[in-house]
Amino acid sequence: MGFLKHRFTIASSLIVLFFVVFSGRLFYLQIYKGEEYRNFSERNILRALELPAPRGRIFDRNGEKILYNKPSFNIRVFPREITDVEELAEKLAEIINVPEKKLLEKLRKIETLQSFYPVTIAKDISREELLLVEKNKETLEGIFLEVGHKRFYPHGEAAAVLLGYTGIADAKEVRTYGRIKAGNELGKMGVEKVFDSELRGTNGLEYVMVNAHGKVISDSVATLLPARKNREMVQGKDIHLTIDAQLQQFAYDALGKEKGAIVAMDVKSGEILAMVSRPSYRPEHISKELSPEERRKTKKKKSFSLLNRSTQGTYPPGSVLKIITAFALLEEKTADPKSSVHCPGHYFINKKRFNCWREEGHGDMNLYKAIVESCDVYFYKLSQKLGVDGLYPYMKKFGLGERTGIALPEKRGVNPSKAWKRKHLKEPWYPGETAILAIGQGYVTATPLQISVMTSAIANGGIVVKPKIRKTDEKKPLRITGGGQRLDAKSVSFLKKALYGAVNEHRGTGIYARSKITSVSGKTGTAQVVSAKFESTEKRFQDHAWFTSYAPSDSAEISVTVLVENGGSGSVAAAPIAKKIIETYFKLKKERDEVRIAISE
Amino acid sequence: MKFELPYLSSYSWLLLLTALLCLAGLMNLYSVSLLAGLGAFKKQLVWVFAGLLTVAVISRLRPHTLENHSVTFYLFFLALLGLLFVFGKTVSGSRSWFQIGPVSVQPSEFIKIGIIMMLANYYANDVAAKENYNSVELLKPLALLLVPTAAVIAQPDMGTAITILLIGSSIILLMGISRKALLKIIIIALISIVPAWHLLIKDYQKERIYSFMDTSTDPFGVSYNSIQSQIAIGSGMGFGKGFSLGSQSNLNFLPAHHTDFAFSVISEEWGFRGSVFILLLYFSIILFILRIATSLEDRFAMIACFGIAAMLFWHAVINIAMVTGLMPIIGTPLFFISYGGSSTLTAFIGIGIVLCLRRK
Repeated sequence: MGFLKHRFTIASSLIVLFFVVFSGRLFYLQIYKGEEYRNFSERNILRALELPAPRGRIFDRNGEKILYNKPSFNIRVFPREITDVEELAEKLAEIINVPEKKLLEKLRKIETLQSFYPVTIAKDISREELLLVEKNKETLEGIFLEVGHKRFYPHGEAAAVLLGYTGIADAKEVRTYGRIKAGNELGKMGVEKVFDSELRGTNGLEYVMVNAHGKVISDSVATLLPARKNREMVQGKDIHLTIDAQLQQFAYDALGKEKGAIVAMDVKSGEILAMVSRPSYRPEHISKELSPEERRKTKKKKSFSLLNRSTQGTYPPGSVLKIITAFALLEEKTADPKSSVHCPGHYFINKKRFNCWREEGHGDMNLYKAIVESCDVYFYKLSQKLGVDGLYPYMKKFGLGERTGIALPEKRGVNPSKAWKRKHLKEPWYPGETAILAIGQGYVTATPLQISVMTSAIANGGIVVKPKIRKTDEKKPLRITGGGQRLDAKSVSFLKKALYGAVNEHRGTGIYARSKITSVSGKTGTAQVVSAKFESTEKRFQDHAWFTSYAPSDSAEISVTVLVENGGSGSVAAAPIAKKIIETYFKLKKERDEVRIAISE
Repeated sequence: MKFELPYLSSYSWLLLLTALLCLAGLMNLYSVSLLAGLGAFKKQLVWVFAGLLTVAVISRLRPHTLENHSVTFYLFFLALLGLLFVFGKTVSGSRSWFQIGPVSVQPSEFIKIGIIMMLANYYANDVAAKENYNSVELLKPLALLLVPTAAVIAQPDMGTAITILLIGSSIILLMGISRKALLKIIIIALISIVPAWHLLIKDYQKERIYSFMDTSTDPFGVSYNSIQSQIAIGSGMGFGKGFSLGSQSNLNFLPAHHTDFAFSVISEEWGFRGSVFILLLYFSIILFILRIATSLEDRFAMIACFGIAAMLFWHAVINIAMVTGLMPIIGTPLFFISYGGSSTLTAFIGIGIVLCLRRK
């Protein structure tokens, strides 16, 4: 029976061999590949649902909501749960109003993420689409509906440029801001961007367990994966702006079809009451997800602009700059307000003729009259004594060529000097350039907001305030940097008189701003876009029309600066608009006071 | 192979290891049942007690009684297999069950014992006791094996049929086959595949076999299960996810986690240490039975014990190869670990037989 013993030995060896093979296999699966399988098993069961935090609301100075949220439905997908991209794209295309090709492209990109965080594939779908998706949920792999928050702008285009918009964070923004993930919403422009970190809030995170059929078994998360913690959703903070929504809307409408900008501001506190830029855009055109091509097309439209002309548009200030020139002349004692200069309608510097806007001339002009009637020759002549570098520090004092410090994206404009020209144009300064600089032409450019700050400084008795867009409890107006002292009271009060005259005197250029409700002071400006020799009736070559003003003249509250791009004469095109806004401001104020009294009684 | 165990006899070791394995199986089943309800666990508890009772009864029988009744045993279960085609209950496509009140009985499990006893009986009474048998001499043992196998294939239950074939073949191989006979058997087997396929197996059964064998036609059936099982095992890593914390099984990613894939659950919840421990217990039990078999003088006892060892061995090999992804999925339980009345009882009967025969 020896052969049987031998066979038993073989059998035993076989058993040991299998034990070794299986142990090896288990070692391979559990130790060598263990971590990989562990990750896989977690992803198998784990869905990380993000609960989008509603962004903070934005209120105007009177507590009116000017930007808030409405519920919207988004279609999202779990990248890891897609098995057949083509099939899913085909099914979705039948249901929602997005071309299959576009969906496929998007889903392909999403699929490669292999993330268990969901990604949005369609935002703000219609009620019909919502019902269809809900009905076909079973067949749409990895798809689910998210109740999101859609930004709603009750004032539409009137405040769109100022408030800005939000969008999906791109890779670059994720790198810059850190605290956000790709696919999150963040402020891209305007107030939405500037106060984004406060408005944004923190999205909640909820880990849910699903079984093999994708069914949520949410309550077992804690026991099975204690390391995965849910995160509470934190709503974004509300922001209160200094804007008066009704004045904003009125100002926007007052510009009519013209391109341009309007800034209305509290002269003492620097609070912006209205900030208008036209053309604007319809917020819903931005919030809808557009392809780059569609976006390009929309941007080309004439009635579409994202630019906030009040802070980002730089224009030659024209005659409104004479306020600063006059101030400089007074301070530097270059001009004796009593002595006069004859204006024959033109002035020669080095045999070069410089025309006054009034061809027949103004006759004898002193400083007061030169401001009221906006005589160019007076400033041509006296600017030659002052010189460009004599004017430069005063322009700087009023904030030209500098940022105002408002919490919005803004341009600096140009405050030219000899040094500036050498540096940027590598050329010496010519005396003729001082002459045209003195009347706000040539190299100098400013934003409507800068002009508004300048006018407010005269109106409030000499304080160059930092404009504010956000309402704070701070009472003290912030002075602008660069000196920061109060402007000379005597010169300021001289200018106040002159600006009152410009509106209220018979020969004043700002007579169209004269109001029966309140006393208005102001200065017109008509800034040439191209050389005067160039005669054209084409709109884009027309002059920019300026009017900067404040009211009431003796105890100023509000300053209003109007710029109409290619509007022609400031006196005709801009002054009436400013008047309407000022009157509306006082009407609104009276109405609100009455309501307040009625309530208190 | 010789084992030197100073304090305990092979018999005591066998009892001890079996008890341990049985406890591990019950604990695992309890863990799986926590979320789904303890119904299966309670039932299995009853089966284990029934099994222990069976062990107690069988091990107290006189070895001769077993040998004398082996033919009866074989014929009884063969008859039951036949009766399945009349009274059988169809579960997931296979007519493998009798429903007796609340209890389901699967005769194809018990027939394994029948075949082992029958073959042992046949070879023990063969006076010639040759080293190798030729083809004519092999006709009878092969017939004894193939008749019940054919009945199981016809249910159809490929998994069980394959284990039955492997168990029987192991005994036949142990007793020896001449080279000529081996060659002839292989040729006949190859030739008979084609007519058997066309005559014996119906179309819907073929489809089931196709999908059973070919993972590509049913990615969410067979290969899906295999992948989920490997994820479950692998994700257990070194030390496991903890008792009842196996996410794969608790969340139904793992199919049949209390029956055929029970080993995956142990591996997921206890990690490498747990899975190797079970493996060690299992293979030790097999080796001890084999050791008992070699120590026996009586031919019937030796062959029967070997058959029991082969039965445990092939079940373990197929089940573990299947759940670890080394083999396509064919439904085969892991004795003492998988839930199931008939298979548990069969395993206990096997242990009982070994304990009874070792006295011979």
